[in-house]
Amino acid sequence: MQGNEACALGAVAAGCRFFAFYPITPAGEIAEKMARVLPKARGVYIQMEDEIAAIGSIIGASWTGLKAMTATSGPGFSLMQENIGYAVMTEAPCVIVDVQRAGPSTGIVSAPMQGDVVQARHGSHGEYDIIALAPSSAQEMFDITIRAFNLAEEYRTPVIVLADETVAHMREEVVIPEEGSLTIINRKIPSSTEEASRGFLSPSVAPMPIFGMGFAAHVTGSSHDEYGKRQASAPEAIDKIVRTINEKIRPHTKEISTIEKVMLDDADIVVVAYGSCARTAEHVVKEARDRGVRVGLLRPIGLWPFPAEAMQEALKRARRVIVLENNLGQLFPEVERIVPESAETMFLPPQTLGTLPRPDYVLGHVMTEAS
Amino acid sequence: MTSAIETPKIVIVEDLCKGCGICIEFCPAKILKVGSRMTKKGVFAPEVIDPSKCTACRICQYYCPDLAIFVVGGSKVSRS
Amino acid sequence: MSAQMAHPLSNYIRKGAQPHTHCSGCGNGIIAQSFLRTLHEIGIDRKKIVCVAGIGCSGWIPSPFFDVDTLHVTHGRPIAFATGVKLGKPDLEVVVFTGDGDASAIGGNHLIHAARRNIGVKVICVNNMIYGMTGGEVAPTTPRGIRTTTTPFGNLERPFDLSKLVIAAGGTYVARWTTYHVARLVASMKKALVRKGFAFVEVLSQCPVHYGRRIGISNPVEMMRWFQKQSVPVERAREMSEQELAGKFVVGEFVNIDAPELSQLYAELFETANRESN
Repeated sequence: MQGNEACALGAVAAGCRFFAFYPITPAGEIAEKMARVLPKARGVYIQMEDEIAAIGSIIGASWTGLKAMTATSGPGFSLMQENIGYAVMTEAPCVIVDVQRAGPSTGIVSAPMQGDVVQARHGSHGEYDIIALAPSSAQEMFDITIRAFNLAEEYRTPVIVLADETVAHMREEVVIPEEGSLTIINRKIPSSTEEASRGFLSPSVAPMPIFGMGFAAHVTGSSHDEYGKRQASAPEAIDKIVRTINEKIRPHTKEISTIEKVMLDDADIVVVAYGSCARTAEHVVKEARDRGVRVGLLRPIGLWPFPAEAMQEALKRARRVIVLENNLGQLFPEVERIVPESAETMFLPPQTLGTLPRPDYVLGHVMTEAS
Repeated sequence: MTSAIETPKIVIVEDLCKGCGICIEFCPAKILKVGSRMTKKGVFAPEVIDPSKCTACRICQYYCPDLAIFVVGGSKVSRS
Repeated sequence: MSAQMAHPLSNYIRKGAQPHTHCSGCGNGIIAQSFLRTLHEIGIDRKKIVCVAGIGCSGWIPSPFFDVDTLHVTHGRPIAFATGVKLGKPDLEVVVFTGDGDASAIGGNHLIHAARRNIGVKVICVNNMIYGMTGGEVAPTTPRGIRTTTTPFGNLERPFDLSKLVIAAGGTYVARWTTYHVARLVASMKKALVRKGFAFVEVLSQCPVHYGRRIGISNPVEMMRWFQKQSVPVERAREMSEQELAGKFVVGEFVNIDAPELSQLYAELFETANRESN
């Protein structure tokens, strides 16, 4: 099935029962699938008047206890940033699928690019932490969407699924597990009004005082304390918020942001790639191996929080690191920072930005590095 | 709970009053005036001129933006 | 103070939230009380109320003042968030507190679509004809010619008639009052809450500090008398010419019709969706 379809099915399997959308290419198929399957699962599919309303309404739905998702591409992702910050600030679980396309601006609607990576990390204003995952196959569009919901619920945070047009539109075999065999995580709900009163800002994630339970929760995007009480002038309060959000997520980077290692054990050359670029890289690595080059692939699946420790460990024997991204270097600086001093790092965009890197093109660079 | 015979009592919560004067202006019986003493908050809360003339219309109560004045008892009470 | 001496609405007020932060004589306080009176008199289960507030002084009506589930969101967006809340838990009573700028400038799109959809969200729109919170900038509701902080030479633009806007968008309950008309305001709020569909209650409200001052009526009492004097009931306004209505506030219930409410339509869809093949 198509990656986008798999994403929709993954969401429903994860328990998503509210999906709001504003039409945008190349995310449309996610919405079309959701519009068909959600009502049968007693979930709401609503098409809102713009992307800002889409992200706003899913946060509202999240506060009633529902697992909620929206999907978009670059232009819509830009519009959503303010409210993504609101979800971060109020610790509202939700999933945002950004099917990246060639930008900036309107760009090319149905061409792959990986230009929203830094935006996923810092697209909203202010200082904060967030989770972003990059699927690289139709199967992962299913699996990682489920993972995104689980992480959103566990850490009470918005989670971004950073897909791209190629992964979204590719058609591949997708294995859908038996119903009931999936691991599904649900947010903690307070068991008493007393517990509910401290509904925010615990580094170990406060139980969420969802609406309609008599908790009289006070949810605000203003600076606040653990009781949700506005603290509009004390800098100490905002310091605590920023640090607590950081503490909620960063120490758990290893669990949150997984990586995939392909033929790394004896690799001199390592290609680092994610999303659709990883498909090219995988092919190239196999080809190069056939030609006797000791090359491997390191694929971060979680991009943010950046899995620095795991990546560094995986790269410790590398002599040369090639970072393959469909942009001008957005994850590259993070990788370069953790590559061992003895190794050289190079950045490699596709032959033409906005197209899938051609295997022969990338192989050529690998062979050059190998010689 | 209401008693038709009971005399209404006007309760003024000084600490909540911001001295806007709305209750004084709109009291139909004209029994509120600007107080002579400044409250802790630095405003002049209303004073009741003649409590016996209060009809418990509650216009002062319903208009007060700060819920700083209300009437207890009297012939007209809102349903509790 | 004995329990008998507590304000009859004190159960609805969050502990520690008094005195609220509105200016002396601000109409927001009158609207806040009118809403609490409405809740009290209808006898709605407090657990079922969710107040969604925008950014601006009107947002501070429920937040933190009301002791109910409160969602204080980003500027212009309370209606969008509220749509998600209502569809998420349809048996909740979802009430939006928004201002004229919040609802008709940045939030205009969400306002017209909520009216169009007939989502059962109740919008209390506080119209003080200015951006008060940020110091007095011109708003889409500021009359022509008024000098504000950002129209020092006088406003060149025509203002919205917010109620007309919502009527045109298909609002099934649209009413406008002023803070002078508290009894009528409470009556409209009751109707708004009891009905199933969308409701828009516009309240002209005095902002003596940032608007009144600019029109030479810096006193809240004077502003309320001005509302009283300038208000024309809709029944009488129908007989008046445009010139006669210039500068007047037409108040009353403009629309009150029944139409299928969106969360109910979804409930029906859930029943039929499995039967249809697509």
